[in-house]
Amino acid sequence: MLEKEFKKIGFSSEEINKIRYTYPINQLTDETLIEKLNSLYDYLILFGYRKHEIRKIISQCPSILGYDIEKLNNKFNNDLKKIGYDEKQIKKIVKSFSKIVGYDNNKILDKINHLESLGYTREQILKMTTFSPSILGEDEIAIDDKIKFLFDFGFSKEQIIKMTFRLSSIFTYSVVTMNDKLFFFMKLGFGKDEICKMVAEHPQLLSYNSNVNKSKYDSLINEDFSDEEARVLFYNMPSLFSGDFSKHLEKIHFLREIGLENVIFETPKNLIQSIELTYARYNFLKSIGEELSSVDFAKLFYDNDRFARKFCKTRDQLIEMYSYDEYLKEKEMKDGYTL
Amino acid sequence: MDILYNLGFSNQEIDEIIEICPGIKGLTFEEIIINIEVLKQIGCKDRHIKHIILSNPNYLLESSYDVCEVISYFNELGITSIYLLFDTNPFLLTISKNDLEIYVENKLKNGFSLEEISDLLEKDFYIL
Repeated sequence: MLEKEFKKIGFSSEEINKIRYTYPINQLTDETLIEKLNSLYDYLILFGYRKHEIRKIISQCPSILGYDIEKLNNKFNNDLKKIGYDEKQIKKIVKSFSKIVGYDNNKILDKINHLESLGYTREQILKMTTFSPSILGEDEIAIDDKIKFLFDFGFSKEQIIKMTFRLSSIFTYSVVTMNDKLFFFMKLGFGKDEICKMVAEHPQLLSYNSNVNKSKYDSLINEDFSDEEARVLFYNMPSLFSGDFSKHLEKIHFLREIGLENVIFETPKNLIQSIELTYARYNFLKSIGEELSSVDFAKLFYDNDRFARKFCKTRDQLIEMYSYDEYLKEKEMKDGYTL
Repeated sequence: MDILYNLGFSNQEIDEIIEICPGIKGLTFEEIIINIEVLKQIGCKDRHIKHIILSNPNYLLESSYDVCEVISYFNELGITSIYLLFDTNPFLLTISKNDLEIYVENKLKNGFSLEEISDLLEKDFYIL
């Protein structure tokens, strides 16, 4: 009977066993547990969760089954709202960090006050802890240690606040991990100031695996870039380390193909423009006789608004006119034929 | 994670995604597929999806309902080719509609046109 009720929500036999033998759930009779499961399920559905989300919440924190629904409701609708979270944020937090239901509100407030004392605004803290609620489970001393480590490395207080706000999961990384990742950039030849600027601009650098970053760096070297050139490129555009690197290489290849390799170094931020748009604009500009050269290429990267005003063609029209997919197909066929 | 293999992710890339966003390990097949479908619905091809997920794996943790709200908001603003907007700035996918509204309203108050705001959204990875 118990298994049947759990299975209705989608639990596997293995998961049910795990939950059943977790303290204090193992103290409940089957009847009480079924009753609690059903009332919790009904309550969470009313709160706006879907079945698979409820399954996840219970799996993460089986002891939630032991809570009184009234207390749970109080936690969601009073305690967390008093701190400043809105309903959407509460839903997100509980879904990814259901342990929070067991946290004393004063304990949560202490954490928030502590973060405020470090210089974050309440609004920033609410956003950070919604995105990475496990920060609320981090020890205050550990948070201080991480901030001290970043400060000692050379980041300013302003940079630390900015980057941890942008990527709040930094607080869940250990000092050793952060040290390894920062050291990796030093091994590539970046100075501490350069690393601070890059990480502050793109804090995700701290979350990427160093081996993966190395392979991205090596890919540029394999493209005949010198170490100095690769460093300049990554320094000016640290987001190159993120995403599908083959896409970035595709842009580099295309710019080389059309004789605009200098764009890569002179205005690396232009690499952010989608290859679809660069391709379409290039062909359009060529078709109307607009000159594009290594000294006159800015129009290829105009903002959409400016481009549309100057050339009376919107991004959508251009992409429709010059399909990058078609170009890729043709290129593939051509390369296939060549082979 | 089979769904990611099917989309052309390599083992190394999947490891990278998990390292950046360990929460992904707890996602069900349905949760991953729903968010990928949302991207397909707005015109993303596999290569865009791969780039978006590798850039911002946290996107997979977002509720598809919230993501659809953001997409509807961009539609309301008259932004087209939304797939290109996300391909250029994948971090927009983990920003709430509420925060986007505040951002857009502030820019409008400061005299920016919607077209200019659309351009800013493309280039500013951290609009918050």
